[in-house]
Amino acid sequence: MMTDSGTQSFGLTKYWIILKNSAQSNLVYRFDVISGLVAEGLNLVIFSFLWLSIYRQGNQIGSYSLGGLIFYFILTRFFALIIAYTDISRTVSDEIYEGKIVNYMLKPLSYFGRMISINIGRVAVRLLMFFPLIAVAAYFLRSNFHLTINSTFFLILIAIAGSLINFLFFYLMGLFAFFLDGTAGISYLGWLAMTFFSGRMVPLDILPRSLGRVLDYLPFKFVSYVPAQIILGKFNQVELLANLALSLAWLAALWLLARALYNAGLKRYESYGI
Amino acid sequence: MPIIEVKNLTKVYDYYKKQPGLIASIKSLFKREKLFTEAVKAINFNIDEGELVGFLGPNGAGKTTTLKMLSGILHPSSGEATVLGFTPHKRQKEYQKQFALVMGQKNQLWWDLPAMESFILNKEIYEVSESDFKHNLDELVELLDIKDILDIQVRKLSLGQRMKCELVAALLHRPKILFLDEPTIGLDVVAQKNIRDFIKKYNKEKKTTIILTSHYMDDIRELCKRVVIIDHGKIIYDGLLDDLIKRYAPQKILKVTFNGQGITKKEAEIFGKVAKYNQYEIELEVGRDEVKDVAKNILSSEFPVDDIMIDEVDIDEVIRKIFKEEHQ
Amino acid sequence: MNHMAYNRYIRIYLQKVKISIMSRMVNPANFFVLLFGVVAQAYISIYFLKVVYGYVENISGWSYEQALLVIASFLFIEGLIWITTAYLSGVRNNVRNGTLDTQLIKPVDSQFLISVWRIDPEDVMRIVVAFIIFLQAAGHFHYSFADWVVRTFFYAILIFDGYVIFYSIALMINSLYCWFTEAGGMHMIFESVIRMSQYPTDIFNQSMVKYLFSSLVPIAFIGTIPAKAIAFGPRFDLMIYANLLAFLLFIISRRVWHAGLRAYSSASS
Repeated sequence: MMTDSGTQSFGLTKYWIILKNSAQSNLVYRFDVISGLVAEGLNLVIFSFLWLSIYRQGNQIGSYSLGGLIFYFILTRFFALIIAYTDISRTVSDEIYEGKIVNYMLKPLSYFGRMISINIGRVAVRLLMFFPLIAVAAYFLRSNFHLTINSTFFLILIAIAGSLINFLFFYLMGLFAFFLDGTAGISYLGWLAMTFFSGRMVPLDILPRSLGRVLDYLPFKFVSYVPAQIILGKFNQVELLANLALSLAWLAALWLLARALYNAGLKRYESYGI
Repeated sequence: MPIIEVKNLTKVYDYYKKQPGLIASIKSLFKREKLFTEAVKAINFNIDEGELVGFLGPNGAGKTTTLKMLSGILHPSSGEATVLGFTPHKRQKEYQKQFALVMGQKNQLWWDLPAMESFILNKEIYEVSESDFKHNLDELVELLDIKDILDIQVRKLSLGQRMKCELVAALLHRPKILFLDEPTIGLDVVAQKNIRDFIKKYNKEKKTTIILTSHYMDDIRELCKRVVIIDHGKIIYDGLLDDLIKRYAPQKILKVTFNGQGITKKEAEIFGKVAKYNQYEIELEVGRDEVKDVAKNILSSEFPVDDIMIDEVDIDEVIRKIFKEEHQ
Repeated sequence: MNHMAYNRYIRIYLQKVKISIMSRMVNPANFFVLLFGVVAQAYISIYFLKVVYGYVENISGWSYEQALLVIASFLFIEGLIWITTAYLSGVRNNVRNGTLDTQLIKPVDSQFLISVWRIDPEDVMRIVVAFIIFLQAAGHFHYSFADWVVRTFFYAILIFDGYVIFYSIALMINSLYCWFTEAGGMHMIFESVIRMSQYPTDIFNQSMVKYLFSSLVPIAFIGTIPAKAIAFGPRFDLMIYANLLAFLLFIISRRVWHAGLRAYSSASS
């Protein structure tokens, strides 16, 4: 594929354009994004009173101090706000039900590539919008950060992995539209699972061991819990490496699953229509 | 005593100027320019019971706005409208039970369910008795020939079938007035004809007053004796359609097709003004009174006539002429 | 309104219920998944509480069973809201899609018609779960029969008040879309705050904040105060206050709705 300048691109320009468009159209919904921030913020403030009253009575939740616990929630909710609320499953299932997916079958464009670009565009917008707030908050809370250069490196990689895992998970939810008459139910369940198992409601390390052990091996924790714990300095080198490896393994697994489901879905679509 | 009286009815909308671009969006958070547009400008008209009146005009002319003021959806900016003795924007229940509004592009039936369920809901909303409901429903279903589709999900119906169901839903409570906003928009030719036939028949049998807005000439031509033409919020013609045609289109079109050698342009010009020329097909503009004679002349001439047809000047042309005059 | 009018509104509501159930039945597998999902969501809230109580004996004077009563009360009211008004989504959807017009011309009270616009039947499971939790918690309290009757009586009235309060606030928030059609997400903020009524408001030790959540954003009346009737005994003062607040908020919300309608009809084209 030749560009104007005569150099060969790998056909990636079109994905960059999709990304840009996605970002621009999401800027239009900035009010929604800010409302999401206010909603989460208020919710967090109110929740903090719960923790405050618990600690005031002399109790302790797991190994967390009051400050540490609240900081944990601030972190997990920020990660959620930026990478998790991208509404991919709705977009995908709508496009399948409305038959728009046909357009992408006919164009020299990978549907998966397109969806990832859209997702990155949405994440980018949120990151941009929240950046000032994050910078200010990080400055005031800097004493709570327990990062080293080494762990920061892992943080960035795992955060990106977490964002992609979140994307793949909801992309899969959306792909069920090829096989089911309605994905509202299953997307709802998926959303519930993600919300709870990513550690946004409760730190995963205070859950009963039986459940906690299972969640340790599942991909959800990388979306909020693991990044937060890295910032809190809770992992040693071995654990950092193990987490990174597991996140990449899950990325690969989910990617393969998505590809398989997409191809199976297309085949079904070609035989039956929708 | 007219059933609808409109005096100096005016509707002004205000809106904020929207500029493209990021900087403009940020600026608009602090200061916005407020602009006004007069959608309807002091219009006057009366409609009697049982009339079938067409409101004609280009998009944005003010037809839908007028209809919305008559149904009470919008408050007029000034002037007054009286329908059945009521002031529409007061939205009194006694008034609302006596009219119905069907909008061609806005679907009021529940998507996933058979139309019957929406009918039952309307029955409750309009307080139609069980016996009246059954009677009206049977009658409408018969007239529109939709007995077989009542139990099919609305989303599986064709556009034409959906429109028929919308009409049934609207007429179940036997309203005295029916407001139709672009009822045939998006329908295929056959469906359009069906809807038109129904409207005509219903108006004749039930003496329901019907106001219809459209930008399809065929709707108006088929249905309305009286037409009100609106452009840029003003009424530029209010009267009988026939008079309109006679005044602005004193000619008819004569379409003749030839086989064999056909006809030359010069030869065609003998018979009258040539509007369109083709060796085998011509269109002549001939005065109304002369057209039969001209036709006779052509047929009895030596030219190899294959077919001949007398047609009206396209009403589109007529309307366009009227609008052109208005802007001069 | 007279007896006949009530009858009619009930019939309209019942037809809406029928329509909503039939809509769900178009896709029964999806419906069962939704039912399961509703139960799962309710259970997650309870599980959260269970985990926290694994580390504490009581929260601001509330034992685990007492705190369960707060969640049960919230679930009762939330469930009722879903199966009657679906969180007032009819208001904001009709406003934002411009279809409010066709509803305004119907000879039925507009507030009623738009409130029951959408109904989510699967949320009846919320009420079922609420019952189960209530009974489970109640088993830990050993009151006399007479005591139970009195407390339950107070509880029922307070749940009704809580429902009216929840409804009124939700209506006001969603009516805001009549003025700010483009602004998305206002209702999300409301929903995020109202969810906090699952927890005893006694956690707000500071009197200022407690006042805020009892009066201005009265989430106390949706979970805590009904639960108090069962857990700590009936209180006439709270019941009278709840009744007054419900009545007041209902009147105000209706005014706000009508003001919203006026704003909507002068702006729409």
